[in-house]
Amino acid sequence: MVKVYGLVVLYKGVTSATILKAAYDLQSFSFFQRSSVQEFMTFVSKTIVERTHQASRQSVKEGEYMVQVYVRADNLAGVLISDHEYPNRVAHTLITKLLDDFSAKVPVAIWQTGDETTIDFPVLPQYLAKYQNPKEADALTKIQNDLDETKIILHDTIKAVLERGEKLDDLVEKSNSLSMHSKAFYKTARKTNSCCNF
Amino acid sequence: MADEKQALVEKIIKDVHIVLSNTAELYAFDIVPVETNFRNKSPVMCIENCLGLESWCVKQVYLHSYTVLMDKMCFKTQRKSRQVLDSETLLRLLNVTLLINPDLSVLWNKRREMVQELLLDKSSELKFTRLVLSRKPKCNDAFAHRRWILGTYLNSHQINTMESLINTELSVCDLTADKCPNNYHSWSHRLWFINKLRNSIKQDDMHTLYIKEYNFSERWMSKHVSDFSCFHYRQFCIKNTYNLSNLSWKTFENSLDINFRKVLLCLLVNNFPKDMIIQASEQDLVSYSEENLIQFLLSYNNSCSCNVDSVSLCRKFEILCYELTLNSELLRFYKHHESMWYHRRFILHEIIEMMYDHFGLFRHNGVLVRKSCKYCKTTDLRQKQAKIIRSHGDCLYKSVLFQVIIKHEKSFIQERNDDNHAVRHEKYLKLIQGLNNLM
Repeated sequence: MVKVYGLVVLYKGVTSATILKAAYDLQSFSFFQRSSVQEFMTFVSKTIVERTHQASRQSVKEGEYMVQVYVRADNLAGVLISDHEYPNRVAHTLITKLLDDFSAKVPVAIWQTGDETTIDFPVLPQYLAKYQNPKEADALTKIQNDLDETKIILHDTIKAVLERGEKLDDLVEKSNSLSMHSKAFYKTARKTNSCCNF
Repeated sequence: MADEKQALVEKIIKDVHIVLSNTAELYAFDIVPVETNFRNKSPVMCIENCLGLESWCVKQVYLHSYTVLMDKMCFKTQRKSRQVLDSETLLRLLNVTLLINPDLSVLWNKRREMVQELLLDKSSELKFTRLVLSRKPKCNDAFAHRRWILGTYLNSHQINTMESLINTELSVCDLTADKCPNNYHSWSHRLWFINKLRNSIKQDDMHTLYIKEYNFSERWMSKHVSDFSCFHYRQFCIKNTYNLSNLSWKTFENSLDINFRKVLLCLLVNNFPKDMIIQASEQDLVSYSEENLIQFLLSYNNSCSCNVDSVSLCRKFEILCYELTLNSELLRFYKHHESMWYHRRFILHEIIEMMYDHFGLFRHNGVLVRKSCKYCKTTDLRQKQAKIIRSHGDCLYKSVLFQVIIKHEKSFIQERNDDNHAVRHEKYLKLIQGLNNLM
């Protein structure tokens, strides 16, 4: 499957990252899981952006998903959550383009203080829809065919991104942004290893 | 305490039943992870036509309904049932048990019996299996149940809403294939369904359906690049288009925004072997009739004077060449996906088989031998003279189409030489298709 599940624009502050705008495509998840899945995407995006250095790109594989992240030198960050088959290079080109458009529309001054409700960038869902077909999206951005010199760092699991001594389970447990429901969901998924549900 | 628990479980089963029978358009079922019953509320939820069951009660409910079913329904014959369940209670228990664990063939068989005794309605069975599949999209028992119901439906010829039946069935397959990648059961169900329809609807409608499925599979294929079940279905669709009638072929070509002939010619012109003096340019080739084109590509004097159906042969090559270019495009874009290479093997195998067929050749002990003409049964006398066996292959190897295909494959393998699968593809062509000395 070639699919994009979420697109998130964040601002990487000194201690933590804040979400500036996000769009999700949750159609393929079962109805009762959607809210939890969305919370998790937000949670993972924040966690990874906080652990990515300025002016660097990372692709992190986690289960059946792939999280592509790019943090610019000016602390603006973009995250694209897709599955494995989505070509990495295309994903990163798209994030670059998205962030360029975002910084052109939204003034730098409000990045630091803004949040999802105050920032006006209504085209994100359209981007999400357009990016579902990487071939078409790639054709649109042909000019940027060779990605800037920043190298994409590949990680096989989210554990590799976390700092020493950190555990995902603990982060989930401590997090305030996840609801009780989502935490229960996370635990069940861990237990049953949700990727093979045959 | 035990009584209290049982009363609760029965209440839950009843609640599920109420939702099932009152909500006509239920489309999804799921178990919602909730660890404890801290709200003292019914664990059965129904939001926006989705049925949910909180996970804390699943164990008790399942244990209860399963034991009751197994004990009292004389599934085990040695235990003479003292109490026969009425069909209403039976159905409730069956529903709940199968929703939680659909892989119980015994219970599905019980449902079949009930359908035969007219205790269950066929259309509601289709809805129920759909609900089961929404949670377990790979459940073969549910698909088998659907096939059984549909089989009785289609054999009886008593449905006047064929179109909606087809649409629902295909949408169930879309849904399950989308939910779970590499869903073999869903695709084989789709294939079975299309094959089954052949006896039930008119030929024209069937051809329209073939075209629709061909276009559908193309879209699906380009978005699910490592799902071989879907590639296999695509191959089925390709084979179906071989036999389209002239009229349907026109609609088929119009439904796609590409020109088959152009794709074929483009492939030819770009890959003409260098050592061959070809007079024809692309412009010339456009004006060729099917017969001339086949003559040009596979020029060869048959020993018998049977006519070849050039039009259909030409169409087959057009379809396959289009598929080849499509596959090359996908391989260039999505790297390192094995299933697309396997699909390429299928395409080449089809093309080569078709050429063998045209020249009346078959592979015998690794050597190409001529068989008797399949139309007029003339046997070539030379066949018996083992010395000239090679020459049979030569007429194939000299044909323009064969050389073009070989050259095209060679250059593609060269282009993709950083991919390990390309090397394996070359080996396949050399060793399995026997093109060792030619590549």
